[in-house]
Amino acid sequence: MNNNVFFKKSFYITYVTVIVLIVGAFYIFKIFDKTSSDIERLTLQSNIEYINNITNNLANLINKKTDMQLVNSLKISKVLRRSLEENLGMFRTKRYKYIYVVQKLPNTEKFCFLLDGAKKDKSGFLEIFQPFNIQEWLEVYKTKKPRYFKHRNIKSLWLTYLKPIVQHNKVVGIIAIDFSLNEYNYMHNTLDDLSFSIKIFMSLLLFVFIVVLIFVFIDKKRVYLLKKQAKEIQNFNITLQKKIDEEVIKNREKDKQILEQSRLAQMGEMIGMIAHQWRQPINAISAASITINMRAQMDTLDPKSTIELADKIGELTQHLSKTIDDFRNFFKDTKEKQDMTYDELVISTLDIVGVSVQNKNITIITDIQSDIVFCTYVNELKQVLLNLIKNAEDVLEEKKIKNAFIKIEAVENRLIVRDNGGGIPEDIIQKIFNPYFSTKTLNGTGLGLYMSKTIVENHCGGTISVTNDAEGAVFCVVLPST
Amino acid sequence: MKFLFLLLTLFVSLYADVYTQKLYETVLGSIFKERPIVVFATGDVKATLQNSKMFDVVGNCKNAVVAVIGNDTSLEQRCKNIPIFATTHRNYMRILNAFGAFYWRKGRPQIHFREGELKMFHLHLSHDLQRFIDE
Repeated sequence: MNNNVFFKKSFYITYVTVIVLIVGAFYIFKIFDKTSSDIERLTLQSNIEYINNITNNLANLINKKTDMQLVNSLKISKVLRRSLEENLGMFRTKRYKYIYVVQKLPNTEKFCFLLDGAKKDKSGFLEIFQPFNIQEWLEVYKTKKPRYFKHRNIKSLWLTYLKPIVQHNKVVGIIAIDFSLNEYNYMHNTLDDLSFSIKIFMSLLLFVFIVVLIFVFIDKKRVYLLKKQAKEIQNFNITLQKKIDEEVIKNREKDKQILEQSRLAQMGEMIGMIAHQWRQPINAISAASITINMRAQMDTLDPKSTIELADKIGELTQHLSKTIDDFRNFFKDTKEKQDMTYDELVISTLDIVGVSVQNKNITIITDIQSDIVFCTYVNELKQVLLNLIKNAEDVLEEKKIKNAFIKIEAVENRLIVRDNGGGIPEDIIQKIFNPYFSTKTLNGTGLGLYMSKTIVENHCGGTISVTNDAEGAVFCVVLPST
Repeated sequence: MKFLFLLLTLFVSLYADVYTQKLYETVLGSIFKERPIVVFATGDVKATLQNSKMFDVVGNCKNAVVAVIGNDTSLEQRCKNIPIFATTHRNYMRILNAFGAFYWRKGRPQIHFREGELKMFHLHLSHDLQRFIDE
């Protein structure tokens, strides 16, 4: 998922959710309005039903007590008026603010009070009364049916209920009941409070949602960036691993090439060694051949000496053949590990290089005190020992050391090659195992010790180190015991 | 919410005072042509009239062209030479030279005029107010 898709998706989610919330809020407010108007309607209906029953009873009572002669009876009897007014006053509560009976004055739109249920500010009998909404009052006279109407311009009243008093099929008065606005206000204030609370709650909900959305958005962005970074790191790791693998392969190729170079260099040296090894037997063969030739010319060649000379030539030829086999075995690329002791290793190596060294007046001293059998790559270790001996030989020859010697010791799993060539300078001793590092003035490839370290440590699982002692350099090879 | 309710109540109360003041201006302003109308008033109505620029409220009936009297019946005799406008039904019925009245009954404003007293003091009602003349 790229940045654009992420932001587009977030935007759509936010947009849809906000729309849903707004629609939800409108729906809730609509439901609230409907409920509010239902409450108002039901309250009104219940009040009207209740007041209708009361006024029915009151009308019946008035009719009964006035003997169907309302005005005349009231004019005559003040006691009756008081009695009826007390009856009216019994129904006066906080809800029903005024309860009174009026009569329409003839030929006018004015009324006069007949009865008043009030205790304070009581209207007088036949006091003129000018009501608002006069048509509603007149309509009661016309229809002889009860009516009610709400007030808009009287501050303390909510509604007035009018009940006609019918005597002799004629409306002789109206029982009027004024509903207090307090009751209505109480209901309305409660609903307003509820509406206000819902609005606050919805606003808070919206606010909290938006805040949460912002945090989620920020967190998503952070998670997205983290994921992106993790992916980049993963890709980088994959690339890095590829590069490492490539480099490892390259290094192996390089090592292989170096090994080949090293082997070729050693082969050059080996040819010299073969020449040394072969010189004496070839000379002996040559001498035997000359002897046979001379005796033949002088006719002194007897069968016995001929056989002896021929046997000697045969022995020498065998020696030459063995020498060749030794060298061939040395260069044989064995892939399998073989059992070997340090004693066998030293003997077989000295078979190759011993004559060459001794011809240069260098004494080889061996002190093998280890009979541990190692399972390792024998020919490769021979190369290592050969390198160490040849290096010592080169140094001793170059420095023309008197009483030069190379001492090969073996103690347990340690093989030590030391000489009296004066040692390796301390400033370069750490570098001598580096590839292409050489101190030799002639014919130094700088690969011998590097290859030796590679063989011992990488192939044979051992270690190789160098130190100086009082006389010269000391190389120590340690192989793991099998 | 309570604060809002109190504010609303205060507004309605103020509105009622303004309504009363306006009504006095309309009624008395249509009957008495001089400006300001020099009026002698007592009780709550005095403060109401003092708030109006149409009226000059004075402390006695001598200089006044009209008296607006509430419950204080002691003034009746001193103001018998000028027209009296009553502010209660009781005074309106009791005071002989009361030409009219304005008071509240069952939450509704009640305006009354007596034709005889209007004639006696040579007062003329506008057409709009004539429907309030008692018969």
